[in-house]
Amino acid sequence: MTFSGLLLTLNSDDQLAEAALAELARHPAVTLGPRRERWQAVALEVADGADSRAAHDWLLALPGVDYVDVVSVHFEPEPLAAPLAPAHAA
Amino acid sequence: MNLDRRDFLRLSALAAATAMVDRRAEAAPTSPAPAAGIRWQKAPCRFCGTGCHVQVGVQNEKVVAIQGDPEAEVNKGLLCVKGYHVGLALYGQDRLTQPQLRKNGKLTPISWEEAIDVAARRILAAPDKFAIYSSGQSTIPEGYAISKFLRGGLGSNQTEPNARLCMASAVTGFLSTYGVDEPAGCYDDLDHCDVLVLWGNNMAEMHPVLFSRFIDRRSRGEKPLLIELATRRTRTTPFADHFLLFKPQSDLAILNGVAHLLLAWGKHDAAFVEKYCSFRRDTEKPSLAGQPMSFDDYKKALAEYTPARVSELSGVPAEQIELLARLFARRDLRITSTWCMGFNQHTRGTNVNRLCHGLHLLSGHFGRPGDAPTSLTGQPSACGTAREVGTLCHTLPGGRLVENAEHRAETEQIWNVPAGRIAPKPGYHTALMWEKFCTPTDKGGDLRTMFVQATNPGQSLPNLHKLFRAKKGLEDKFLIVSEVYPSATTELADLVLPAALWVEKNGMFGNSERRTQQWFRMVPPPGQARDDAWMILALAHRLLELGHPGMKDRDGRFLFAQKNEAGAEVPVWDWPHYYDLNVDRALFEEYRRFSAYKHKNLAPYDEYVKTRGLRWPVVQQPDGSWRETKFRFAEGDDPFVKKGAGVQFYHSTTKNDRAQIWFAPYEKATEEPDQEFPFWLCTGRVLEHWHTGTMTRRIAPLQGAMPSAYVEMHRDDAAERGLRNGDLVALRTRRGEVRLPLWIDGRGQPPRGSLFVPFFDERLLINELTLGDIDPISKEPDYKKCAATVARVAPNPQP
Ligand code: SF4
Repeated sequence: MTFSGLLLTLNSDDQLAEAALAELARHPAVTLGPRRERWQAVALEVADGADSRAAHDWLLALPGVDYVDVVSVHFEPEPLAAPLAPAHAA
Repeated sequence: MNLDRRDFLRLSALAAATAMVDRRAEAAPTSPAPAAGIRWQKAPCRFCGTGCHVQVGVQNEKVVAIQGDPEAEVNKGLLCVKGYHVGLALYGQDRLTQPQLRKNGKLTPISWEEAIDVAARRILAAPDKFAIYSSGQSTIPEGYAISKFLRGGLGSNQTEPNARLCMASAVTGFLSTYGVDEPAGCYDDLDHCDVLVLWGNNMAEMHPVLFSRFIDRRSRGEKPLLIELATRRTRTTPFADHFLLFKPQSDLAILNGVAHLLLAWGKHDAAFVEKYCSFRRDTEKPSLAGQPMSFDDYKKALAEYTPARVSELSGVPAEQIELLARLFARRDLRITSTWCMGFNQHTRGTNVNRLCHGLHLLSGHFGRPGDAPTSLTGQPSACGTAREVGTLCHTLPGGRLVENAEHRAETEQIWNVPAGRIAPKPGYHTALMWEKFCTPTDKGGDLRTMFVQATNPGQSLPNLHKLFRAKKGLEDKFLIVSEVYPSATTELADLVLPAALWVEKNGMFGNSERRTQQWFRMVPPPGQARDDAWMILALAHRLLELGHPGMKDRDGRFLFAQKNEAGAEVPVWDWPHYYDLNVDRALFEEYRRFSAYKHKNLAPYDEYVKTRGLRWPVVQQPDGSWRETKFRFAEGDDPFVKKGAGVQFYHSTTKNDRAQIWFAPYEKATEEPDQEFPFWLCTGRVLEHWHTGTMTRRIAPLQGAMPSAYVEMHRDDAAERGLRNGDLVALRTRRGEVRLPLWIDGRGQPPRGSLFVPFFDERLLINELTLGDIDPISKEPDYKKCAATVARVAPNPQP
């Protein structure tokens, strides 16, 4: 599992921002924290890095979200999906 | 994972995000959350040239947590996704932990004693055929040790940093415009500008924290304008107010077109130009100095760059060129330009840098906070180490030049080595250095032993077959590589030396905005891995033992002799004693003596210990404190500008305090698409990986997010060829072929007729295909454009 703390910058249009927050509240991977002015704290829990990227893209695509900053990432070495091997390895 | 732990991790993530929400809303600054047993210390991030500071949490001699450093001015507590994972770069499972020598074709573990002896004897056998290839990731003391060892010890200038591949054109642009390297402005410009122009600079992915710093102004009700010029859409594009999509190489024409309009409209800043600028163009053979030209000749030379002609060359609609010119014509606006590899990795890289500076000077957008042309760097110490210390083949510490007899004499004086020790002839630039190493000795390949530190040329050099892979089978060539992980470079190495990484050693970096940063060793390196600077000192001492005369100074002392506070000699070349004193501090204090010549004054080491970095020139105040400089050449902030001067270019190449506005023509790229190779191929980075991926590919969340390289293609080009997403395609240029998956439209969207491939993936070496043609002045290769073709090899296995 990957746990990230995110700082969302919400759109200045409050209706859009509220709609985005409602959508976020429905998402099982998202835990909403406090909002101050246009900044919203979010914790995101996803299965792996690929899901994390998809979730990040989804957040950015919400009309009520202007920007997503990653604030913290939980630190737990995960095994790599595939071993690394250089192009010319014998 | 049990529920409690999961809740704990989720709540920790939320707490960190909440702290940042408070901070953004300008509540009290947040410090790293206290946690039992974790010791927090500051360090700059190991990855890019932005130079964010992190707080590193250490427990039981292991890095266990990372947070953005709220006290750091650069990043104000934020980091990008790479920065948050930087601690994991230390803990890949295949860390190199023991020296290895190739015996009968196989790398075999040996002792450090043998490794240093083998390397020293190779050097001793032919010192003039030995070269060091280091890095913009080498720390400042490491770079300084290399320079002193080679130039002051071996009397050789065969040293190059990999920064030749990324920053050399920025250097020549600054030098030929202002007479001194590095930006006048700093990141504060991003907070003050009304308009930010990104010249081929995908800031959202490459310098994400800087981008966030700028974009955040919008959420505070400010309306700074973002103009992006690029050859493909990127993650930056959705944030741009105006996106100018241009054909590769035509940035030269666009810059000339804007300058032409300013003059045609009479909207250039005549008073600024009259007072502070001269005009210049190249001689027939391009050079750093060029030749003077008159304002009238400059105007005439620009006359052909009408909006219609520029539009034809660049594909940018004339109205967009006019829009850009109208912005530069307004003195009430403050305009910051940034660029990075798009300008620099260019066969006319010096010229395109010059033109951008020229546009700012011509329009008077210079010298006020928010009004500055600023290059950004890719590596954490390309500025601090490669450019300031001077590990390029033609430079001496502190901006001095190898070819200048006075500079050599000053350097010899500080190093206390005999007069004449430093050779007057520059060494080979990077491309030539590797060509000489990879060419058989009897065919003119006169470099026999190379020592690579902190970089991965086996993946990052262009035209790899010629400049790296050709080493294979050349029996008398010997490649020494100091590395942290197996790489495309160690694969051909004859001797591999395991290196300490980042907070496993003391270090200092210099970031893109002239900020010198310091950190202390926090955890031990794994196994027998050791510091790069120690390797240089140990080699020098072994050479001394073997009788090399250059390893002694004029008084017969070892070149790197160090005494402790009690005045006793400390054998720092002997690893158990290396940390008996702070070698970084000693080397930096010596290097600092070089820094005033180009007004890049540095503070004492201990000042950097106290701060999150200081931007040079750093000058001592009457009260004993040390003051940094945000805006160079501007009266009021730069301590070296004369009172009443307003702006003063005190290192002017024409010795009259004037900067040079260059004219340079649009010229075609050296290789352009044709019938056989109908696509432009551009290469670069992605957000998740840093450079050749040696570190980030070992970090599971980053590797999982971006597991392999791909080729981006426009959907219509794919449809025309019957290609589908995920198909395995053969990408071919005149230099080779690489097979990789197709990503239709990719992250942004390349325009029709163009392809993009990231270079982080060592299994898919895209640099086997890149061009290797270089800028004639900076000698930096072009990685951004060559001609390519694509054909399907196999359909997507999971359609
Ligand atoms: S922007 Fe660069 S320096 Fe900052 S955290 Fe990301 S990789 Fe590190």
